[in-house]
Amino acid sequence: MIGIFERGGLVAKVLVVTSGKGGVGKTTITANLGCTLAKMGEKVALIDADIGLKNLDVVLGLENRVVYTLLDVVQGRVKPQEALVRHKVLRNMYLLAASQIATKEMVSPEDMKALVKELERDFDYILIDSPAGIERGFRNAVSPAHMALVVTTPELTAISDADRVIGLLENFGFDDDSIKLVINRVKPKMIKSGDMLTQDDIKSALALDVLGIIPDSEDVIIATNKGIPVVLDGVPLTSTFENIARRLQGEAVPVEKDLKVSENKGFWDFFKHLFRRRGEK
Amino acid sequence: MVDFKMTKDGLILMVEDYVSIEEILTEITDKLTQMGSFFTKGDEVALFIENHSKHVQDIPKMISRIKDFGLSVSRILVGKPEESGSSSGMKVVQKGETKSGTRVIKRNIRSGQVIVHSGDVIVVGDLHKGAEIMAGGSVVIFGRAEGVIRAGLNEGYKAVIMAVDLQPTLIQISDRMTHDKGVEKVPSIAHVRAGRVVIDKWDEVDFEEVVKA
Repeated sequence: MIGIFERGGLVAKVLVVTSGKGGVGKTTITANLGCTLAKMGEKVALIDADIGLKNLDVVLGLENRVVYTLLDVVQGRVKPQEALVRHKVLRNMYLLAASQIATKEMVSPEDMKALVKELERDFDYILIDSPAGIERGFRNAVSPAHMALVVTTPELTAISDADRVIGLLENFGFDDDSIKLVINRVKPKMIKSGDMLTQDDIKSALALDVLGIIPDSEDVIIATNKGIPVVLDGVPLTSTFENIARRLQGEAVPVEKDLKVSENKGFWDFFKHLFRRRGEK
Repeated sequence: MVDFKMTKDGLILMVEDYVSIEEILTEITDKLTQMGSFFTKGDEVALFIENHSKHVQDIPKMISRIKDFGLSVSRILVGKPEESGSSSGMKVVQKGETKSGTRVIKRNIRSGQVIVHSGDVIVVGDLHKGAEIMAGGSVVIFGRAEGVIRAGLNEGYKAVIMAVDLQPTLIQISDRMTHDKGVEKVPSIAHVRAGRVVIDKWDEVDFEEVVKA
């Protein structure tokens, strides 16, 4: 199995997706960003570090294919490569699932570092989905990463937690260049009416570069329940994730482009609803 | 555990890592009562706190307890005391401290981060909500200050707090506190006037009065 991953001397970019606050969309963003990078031809591994409260396999629709988990790897029962689950559609994306029966204390930051080290030569990108909170699970998820994506929503509670997490990341040795902000669940209509914090408000509150702005969308809920990441479901949000992936690859795509999607979305939605209604009749 | 240590720089009250602040305060009281005749009013002691980052919120309590005995705290020491036989072995100077005793911080201080320094503190950056500064002297912030600022923990009412945008959740100068904020985006100065912390706009403050206080 190891043979098919061989990539010469190159090492994967290791990213952790974290937030502090729960429920802001870490897992959804990890899954969709992973799918997008894989669609662009990158070899991607997703690691679910939320041991005991795993979700990533569900979002990816791989729940029934998991044989070994992260804990089996850490406890030496299998090699990391053997525990990876290949995605059904995207054949160059793999998942290392978390164990649901274990606890976060059964894994140490050193275990995670060793695990990622074994995988880093086989992939272009390794995305680690961090649990909420700032305790052991957070430290496990963060320690092997080179770069951190801090997810926040335009709410003061999420921003305050993001600030705390950024402070902790700084203590871990991350700097302004290796911490990027992703603003999730933005409602352009509410921003226009002045009822929601704008990306500039958030940017100045957290003093960090914004990597991406993801508009709020019901499609995400529908897709999650189907076990198909939004970007594979052919909805308008796809281009937002493509923009974020391109920025990770080093391309300078203006952040303003992210919200363009949802401006058109009203129009798109109109048609979608029109057809849906007719069909129902 | 609380104990006194004599060094060439004077007396240091050593507070070891602890769980309950109440116990430590009782121990400080016991120790000072025991040594009552040793001190005269106005004597200075330094305060060393092991693992200070865990206990920052307790520091004002310890200082006020020491003050109850008529003593003043000359310095707050943190870090690791050097173990050596001579009395001069004790060196607990904080990282980044300059000769003038001023600490300059050129970055944003984020939620959960605490700056403890026995002298003056200058921040070139913002103090975010949930962040805290504890200074023996004055605090100057070239940026927006939204966290908790405690100044004058050694220097007393002479200390001032200035910020380009002074919007803190709490201001403390020595033992006086306020939840007041400055006018948004107007550089302001907090200082003690007639036993109360007041905030003046930069162009309205009477600097002579502030300096004399």
